[in-house]
Parts: sequence; C-alpha cells; structure tokens
Amino acid sequence: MKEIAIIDYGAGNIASIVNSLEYLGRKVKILKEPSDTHYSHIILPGVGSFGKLSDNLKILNFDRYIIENLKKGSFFFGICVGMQLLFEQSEESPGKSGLGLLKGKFEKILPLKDRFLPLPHVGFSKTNNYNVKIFENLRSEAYFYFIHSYYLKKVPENVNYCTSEYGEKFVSFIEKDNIYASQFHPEKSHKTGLTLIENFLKL
Amino acid sequence: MQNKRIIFGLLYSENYFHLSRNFRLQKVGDIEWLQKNYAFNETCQYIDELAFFLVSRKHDKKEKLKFFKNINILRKKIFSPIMIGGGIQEFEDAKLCFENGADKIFINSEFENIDLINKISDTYGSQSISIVLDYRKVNTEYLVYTNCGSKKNNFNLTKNFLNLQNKNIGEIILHSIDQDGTGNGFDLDMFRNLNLSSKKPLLLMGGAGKPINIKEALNEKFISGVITANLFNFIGNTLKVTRELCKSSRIQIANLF
Amino acid sequence: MSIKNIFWCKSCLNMSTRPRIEIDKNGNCNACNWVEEKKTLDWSKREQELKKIIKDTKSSSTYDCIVPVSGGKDGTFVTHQLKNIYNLKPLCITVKPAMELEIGKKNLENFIKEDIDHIHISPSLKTMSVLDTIGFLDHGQGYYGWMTAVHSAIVRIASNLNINLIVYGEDGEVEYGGTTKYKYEPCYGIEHMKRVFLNNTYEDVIKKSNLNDNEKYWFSFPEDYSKDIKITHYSYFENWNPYQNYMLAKKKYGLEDLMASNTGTFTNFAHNDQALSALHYYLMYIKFGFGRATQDAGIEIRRGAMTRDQAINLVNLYDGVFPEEHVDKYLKYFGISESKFFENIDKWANKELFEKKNSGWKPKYKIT
Repeated sequence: MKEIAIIDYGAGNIASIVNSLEYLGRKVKILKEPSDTHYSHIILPGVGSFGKLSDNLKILNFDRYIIENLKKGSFFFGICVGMQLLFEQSEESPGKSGLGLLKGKFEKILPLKDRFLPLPHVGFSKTNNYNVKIFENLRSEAYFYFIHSYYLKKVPENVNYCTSEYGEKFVSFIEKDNIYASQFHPEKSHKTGLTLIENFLKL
Repeated sequence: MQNKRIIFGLLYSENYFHLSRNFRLQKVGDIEWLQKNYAFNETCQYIDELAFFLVSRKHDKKEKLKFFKNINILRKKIFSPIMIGGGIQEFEDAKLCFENGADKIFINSEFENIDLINKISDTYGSQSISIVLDYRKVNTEYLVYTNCGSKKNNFNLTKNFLNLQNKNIGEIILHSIDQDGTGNGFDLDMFRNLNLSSKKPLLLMGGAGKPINIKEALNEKFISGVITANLFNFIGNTLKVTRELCKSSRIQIANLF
Repeated sequence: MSIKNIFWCKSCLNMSTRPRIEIDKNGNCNACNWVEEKKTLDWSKREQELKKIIKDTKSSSTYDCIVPVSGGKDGTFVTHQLKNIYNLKPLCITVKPAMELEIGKKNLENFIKEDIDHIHISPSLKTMSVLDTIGFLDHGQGYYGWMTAVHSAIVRIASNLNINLIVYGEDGEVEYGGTTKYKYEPCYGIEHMKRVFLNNTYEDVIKKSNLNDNEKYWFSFPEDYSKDIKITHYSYFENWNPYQNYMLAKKKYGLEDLMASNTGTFTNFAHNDQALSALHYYLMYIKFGFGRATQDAGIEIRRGAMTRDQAINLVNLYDGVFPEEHVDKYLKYFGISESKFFENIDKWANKELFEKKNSGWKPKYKIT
C-alpha cells in the first residue's frame, strides 16, 4: 500500500494525524522537504499563524511542490491553517499571501452585536453539506472539532463545500477537483473524522 | 452558536492516576486500571476533550518522559482533542507537549510570564494556550494561588482574569481549590458573584461529583465548558449519562455519537 | 435470610440484610429518610437541648465534658464545635487500639497540638487481645475488645473524674440505617451500649475471657455508675455531615489522608487509626453482604456528591476487598495459625450470599 505524505513545515502537532492514518492501516511519510517521489495523497496540517506558516511553506519550497503535485494528480488535504493557505489572504497576517489556488480572504471572526461569542471558536460544531462527495456516507449531522479565530465567509465559485456556523455562517470544508480542505480537524473528531479521512484515502 | 464542552481530566504522578481533594492527591490506579475502568476508545465519544495534567511534585526529565509515555499509550486509540500541561515553565516544556499529541497546552504557575506565552503563541498560535487560574475564597475575596496552591499571587481573581483578556491566549480556566474533589458542584457562587464576562472561552474546574453538576454549570450563559478530573465518580458509563443529561436538558452541546 | 429476599434501598445502597434497618414501602431506608427529615428539623431547638444538658451536668470538675477521639475527623470536629460554639472545656480521651497505624498516630498528634487536653488510655494489649480474639472467633467481630473499651473505659473515667457528660460523634444507628430508637432522644445509657453497639454479646465475651476484676478494669462498666452521667451523640444536635468534618479537620487540625484508598473502599480519609478496621469491615461484608465501600457510598449519596448509579460502579469495584496487607499482623496479634484464621473467616461467611472461589468469597448476588 502506498505511503501517505504529510508535509512537516513547522505547523505544530502532526502526531495526531499520523496516529489517525496509522490506525487506518496506512503508512506515513513525513516530508521535511519536497520529494521527487510521487505520493497519491498529500496532507498539509496547520496549527499556527497564517503569516508564519506561509513563510515556512515558501522557504522550504513546499509552495511549488504542492502546485506541481496537484498538477500530477495527487489528492491534497489541507487542515485548518492548511486550508487557509490554499487561499489568497488572511486578515491575521496582512501582507502575507497563501498559495492562491482558491479565491478568497479569511477574516477575523467577529462577535455578533448583542450576542455572546467568545473567541477563538473552540469545540465541536456541525457541518452542513453542499454536495461534498466524501461526506456522503457520514451522518447527516456530522460534528467536527474546530479551534480557530479566522474564517472564510464567502464561498468560492465552482466548489463543493460545507458550511458551519459560529456567529455567522462560514466555509468549513472545500472539495474542488483533487483539492480537499477543512477548517476543522478531522483527526480530532472521533469516528466521524476518521471516516472522513478514510473516504479521502479511498480516492 | 457555541457548543459547550465537557473536558475530562487525568491527573498523573509517578506511574499512577489520581483523584484530588483540595489539591491533595489520592492514588487511584495505573494505566491498566484506567484502560479497564474508563475504556477511552469508547468513552471519548461522550466528552469533547481529554486533558492530561502532570501533578507530580517533581518535574524532572524522567518523570516527564513517563508522563508522555502514558499519554502516548492512551492516545493510540483516542481521536479526541487533547490538552496537556503541568510544570510548563519554558518553551521547551510546551514544545514537548505538542510533540506528544497536545492540541492545547495549559499554563498555570507561569501565567504571568508574557515572554513565554508570546513565544508559544508565535509558533503554535494563541488558541493553543489555555491558562488555568487556581483560586481560593479568603473571607470575601477570591485570591489566586500558584505552585499547587502554595504561593499567593499579588492580584485577586477578577484583576488577573481581566488582565488575561487581551493576552495571546486561547481560553481561561478558573479552578477552585476549595471545591476541588468535594463533589459539591462547581463554584457557581463565585461565578455569579464576580459577574465575569469574558471575550475568550471561560471554563470552570473543581467540584463536580454528579452529572447534574456539569449540567448546571453548562447552563450558565457565559460558561463555555467545564473540566472534571473526578476519577471515581465518572467511572463506567457516567460520562455517557452526563452527556445525555445535558442534551435532554437542552444544553447547547455537540452530538458526538 | 435467603438470597431471594435481599434487596437494596432505592436511594442509597443500604442492604436489607443490615441489622435493625427499616426500609419503608417506597423502598427508602431509614438513613435516607432521616436525611430528608433533617432538612426541616428545628436545629435551634436541639442546640437549646444541648445547652440545657450542659447546664444540668455541670459538676465540680474543670472539664465540662468528655469527647472520645481517635485523632480522626469526627472526634476532632466534635471537640472543635463544643469549644467554639458552646464554649466548653472538653477532655479528649483516646482508647489506644491494638495495631495503631502511622497515619493515625500522626493525626492524633496533630490534633492534640491545637490546645487540647488529652488522655490516652492504653489498656493492656494482652487483655485486649484476649477479648479481640474471642470476638473474632466466636462472633466474627474485628476488634471487639477495643470497641468495648471505647465505651466502658470512657464511662469509667467519667465516673472517676466526676465529669457528667460524654459526647460521642455520630449515632451510627440513626445516621446510617440502624435502630431509630434514639432519633428523638439525646441521651442513652449503658444498656443501649451493650445491646446495640456491642451487639448484645458483651456478657458472653466477658464471661468467656475469664479475666479477673483487675484485668477487666478498663473493659467493664463501673458498678457505681452514676445516673447523673449523660451519654450523648453530637450528631443529635447538629446536622451530621462526615465530609464536612473531614474538611474542618483537614483545614484546622492538620488531618492527613492516606496516599491511596483504604482497602475495601474508595475513600482515604476515614478510619485510618488502626489495622483491625479493615478486618472489621471485611467481616461485615462477608456476614451481611455490604462492606466499607457501600457505607462510604451511602455517605456520598446522602450528602449529594454522587448518584446511586455512580455509587454502584464504585461498590462493585471496591467492596469486600480482603485486607491482604495486614494478615501477618492479625495472626501474630490473635496468636492463631493462618489456617485457623481463614477457617474462621470461612465460618463467618454467609453462604446464602457468598460462594467460595479461588480468589476468595464472591457474592452470588448483583446489586440492583
């Protein structure tokens, strides 16, 4: 069985993703730098700040690596800041840019007027699925673990997606061609998360 | 809409997991006992997060390695968010926690160490830091203590709480030394007396004995979650009962199963 | 008692097998009903009753009363309350048990340090062991001799020193599901001690011991026992809460806990004074089907810290664990062989309720 690549670019804890993949019976290759080997599935984790991680990606040449491998047909899964980095910008780090593979800008979660909304958004929230194929066999009310202060409100064009709500509605999952990305952490979301990861691996 | 959280805590010291009563430890069982009586691979679907606290009096390297070893064994079959802390004094301590599976770390005695907080925040994000404030009621005041309740802080609970609002941290946990281990419920008196309103998630810890204690605390609008480490009381299917009670009482809580 | 007929209180886990228990038609035991009753009891009236008793029993002695203590949470609490609320000058008395545990000794020392007048009665260990051994073999009791002295020696001192009031801690019968005879009656006498607290076997044990008058001095009640001496339980005058006692003793009198739970239960802060406690509780378990964990669970349930379902988990896990760690001490103390010791355990095991397996006596029933 082919190895799954995980990009290690200083984006925090990858132990849990490795744990999930191994539990699902897959071998994991942790990439500290771009590799010539072709991996069918590549995971970009992301815990930390948009700006810092964007710099790291570029310094380590993973930006080019991701774009090239997407062209070669690898399936790609970005988690949390790993999702944010696929887009153009984030309010968190003005002046820094993501990979620009998808159009959009992440904004700071704003508390609604008169409504109590502590920040960051921490905890399990449910997702509303709009045609995402790899969500198909999940429960209709699928809860995932979120921990973030920035979100994407505007849905990009021509994508399948999920929304979730924290104060306002935001994009919690993207499925476009061979790009998959979640604002939430599937590796922290019990059986539901594991099933989603398994669905991704079956592609 | 914010979904409230139930966090279960495990207090580890010298090969055993413990119960705490007003910060005095009682040995309960080792990792085998825990696996037998809590079966976390099942039980985890009834809690939102699992927290590991290193509560040994000594924090030498050997003890820390054993702590992480225990966590890594338990973690193999657990796919929940994990919080780790206890004795984090330097950046390296935090780094070790993240490398051993932490999604969030908690800082207790070093909560005023802005340099440490900022350094961790720069690398891992501010949301990865939870601050635990241990406090006692002394006459009519709520005072903060560090170093396992032995060292009195210069400021009271309210002042410290307000100071933390604009720091680079994720959430604040208020831990009642007086209620700890009593089974008398969380310190809702303090919460209502001090009328704290927080920009960041606010959680309570200390005093849970029964499922209804958790429900009552989560029923408070400005409480985002609770932590209990009552290893005797929540044994067996009690965590499941707790979650079901919260759901049937219309507490805004996620459906994890 | 047939296993078909046993049942449990619907609120706590008290068993129908418990001597003198009353379980009402709703399935609640007298201990649980008492907790409810106590919520609306006129406690100020009871405080006045105590004040009157104090006044009536005043004698020429320096001391207003005797408080029997072991160094544990209950005697400590009672002493504290009598000094601070009623402004009494109590004389605290400990009857030294046979196999004192280190933590028990330490707790007693810490207690005494806090401006306490204290007498330690140490009856001859040889004599005590004679009575304890008869208690163990003939009546399946863990520490019958010591238990006797806790009553008789205290009454003797009260008589000798002309102190007319003895205040014990809790009335275990009223509080935990036994006879309710003294629910509304503050004072009791030697007959009640012999019949209930000493299981109506006092005369038998003393007779069999063949001790002479000198030897049984501390283990017998004074013949010229004055009717002026009033014996009471503090639990009559204030809403008794063992956990609250523990919190106070911990905070103000340096009470320490064990590092791990006591054998046969999940608590670590009660009955830490002697090694024979564990045997006493184990015998209770195999005779009646409930042990220390059940007792502790009852206290936790009744004070609102745990539900019945939560308690069942703990009782199933901890009740009736045999005190392996003390067996050598017991054998030496009783002066009997290991086989005789275990033969006796087997003799007292209730065969209706238990069956013997390789790992010991196991219950045939399941808690419902």
